[in-house]
Amino acid sequence: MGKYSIHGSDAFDSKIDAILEDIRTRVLDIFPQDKLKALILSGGYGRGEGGVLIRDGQEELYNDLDLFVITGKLKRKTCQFLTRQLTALHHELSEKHGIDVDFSPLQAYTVLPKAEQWLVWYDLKMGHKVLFGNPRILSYLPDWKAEELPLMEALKLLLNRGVGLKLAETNLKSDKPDHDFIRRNIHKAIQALGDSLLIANGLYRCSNLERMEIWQSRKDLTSQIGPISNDDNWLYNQYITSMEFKLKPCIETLERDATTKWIKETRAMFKQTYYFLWKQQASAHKYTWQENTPYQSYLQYLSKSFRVTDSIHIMLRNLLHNLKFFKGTCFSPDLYLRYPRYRLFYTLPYFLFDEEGDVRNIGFILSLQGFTSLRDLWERFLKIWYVYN
Amino acid sequence: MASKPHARLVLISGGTCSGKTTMAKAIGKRMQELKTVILSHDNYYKDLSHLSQTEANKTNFDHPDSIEFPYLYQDVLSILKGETVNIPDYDFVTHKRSEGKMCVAGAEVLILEGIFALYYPELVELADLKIFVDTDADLRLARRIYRDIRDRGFNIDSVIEQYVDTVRPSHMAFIEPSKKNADVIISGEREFDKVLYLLNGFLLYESRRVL
Repeated sequence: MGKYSIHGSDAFDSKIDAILEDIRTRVLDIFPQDKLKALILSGGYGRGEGGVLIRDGQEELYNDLDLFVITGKLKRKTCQFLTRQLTALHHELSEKHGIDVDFSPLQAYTVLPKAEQWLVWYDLKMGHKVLFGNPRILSYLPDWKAEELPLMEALKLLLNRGVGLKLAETNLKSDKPDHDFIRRNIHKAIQALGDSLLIANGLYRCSNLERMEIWQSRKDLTSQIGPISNDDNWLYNQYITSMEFKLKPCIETLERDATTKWIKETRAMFKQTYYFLWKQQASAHKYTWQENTPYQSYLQYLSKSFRVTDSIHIMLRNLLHNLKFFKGTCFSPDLYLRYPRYRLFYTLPYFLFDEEGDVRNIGFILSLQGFTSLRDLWERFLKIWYVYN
Repeated sequence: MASKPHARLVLISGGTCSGKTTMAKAIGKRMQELKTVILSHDNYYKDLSHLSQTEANKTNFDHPDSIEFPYLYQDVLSILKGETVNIPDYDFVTHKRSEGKMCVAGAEVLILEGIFALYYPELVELADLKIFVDTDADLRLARRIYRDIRDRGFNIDSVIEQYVDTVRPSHMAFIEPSKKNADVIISGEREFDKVLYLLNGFLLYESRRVL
């Protein structure tokens, strides 16, 4: 077991060490040291479970290098300036090292004690490497319990990976399918299915290996969702395979028909899991879910029971977000006072599961006037997703 | 970003009735060679005098948000820079914060005590010494019952109700986790003598060290 991966050699660790040293030096070049509290490697390599791709007998990085930047208190202009610098650095370093070097939005250390128990924060706290700064800075984050991760985190995860699955499907139909992109996104969707069930059952852990072990001891989790294609173990088998792929990816060419079938099955399981977890969410709010019409129940729950319960401060913030992005188009208080992710939740089943929907209504939810095709709607959805996922 | 001031900052945190104030006073008494100021963050609770008594009473004073932190932080910075600062008073009956009578100037050591003293990262990063006074919950509750009935005129039901409703949840959520920010964890159930001896030496050394 290496420093950054399960399967990588010492040489692989050294290779990452060199890249990280370069990143650290370059970040320190642009950051005044009194403004930078910590530079932290998160993601797979930060947890010590990053992917190792073997190509032509050589070990290569497969996952992005995800970096969290924790700052002191910054003035707005300084924050904007440093963000622009980091964006330029992201492009420069990604090109130089042939792997995506992603920087998080700047986070002031003063916000850490009030951070909400989001999956991203939880994973960061539980698995990371501090490259620069206070090695204990993340101890300012609250002491969260894994079993208390909110169900909404599972639903947000499914939203994001569901979009990835749809993109994979679209890509497969193109003239020049990107096999790596397709395979990676199908695996991510399957991992999200397994992980979301773990979250819903209070069993989620940061480590991939631990999650695999939990699934191996709790195969009954699949019975909560039910089989697809009469295969009771479809999800369990696929999840384990996808998690193994995460640790040791491959880049073989995909066969189109088999991949089409794989996506179809994944989507079927995705749909069952998605509605199952939303039913749980609805039940938590004492909303009656109609088993025979899950899509209708889902939409009704979203629009009626999933009401705006935020404070006036948050509603005003949501209003500003919406006005900035949608410019008042198709204005409705119900839409504009909620965080824009609501629009994504509302319309995802229409795109991903081909659920029936009034195109005009979908256009209204996405604040899109004058659209001409399903493609227009999907592109609008993606634009919102890129900003608010 | 605040520049490193010349006076030393000691933070003392711990649960309710853990012995923070006793510890702060004991350090202050011991530190006779240095001008030491003891400050409680309770003086910086938010002014709620604009609310009705019923509304103000609903406020959870065991939550970090109940402190006017920017005000507290600014005063701490000023004191550490050696500036003259008027410490506000807080009236727990009217929930009014007023300009205080206590004036602080030229402190060499500032001891800030309070249940959230180790909660705010800004203070933790600024502090030279961070102490958590650790006392068992049953002992703290016993002390609190005794104190609130004797000194504040509460009855046993209201003390226990408040403990269960806000004090204990807040301790679990904010205070106990802040223990990890401490340099030293001291038992609030034993005599402090030996610990004071060590702290005294440390602070004397630190205060004479040129930055």
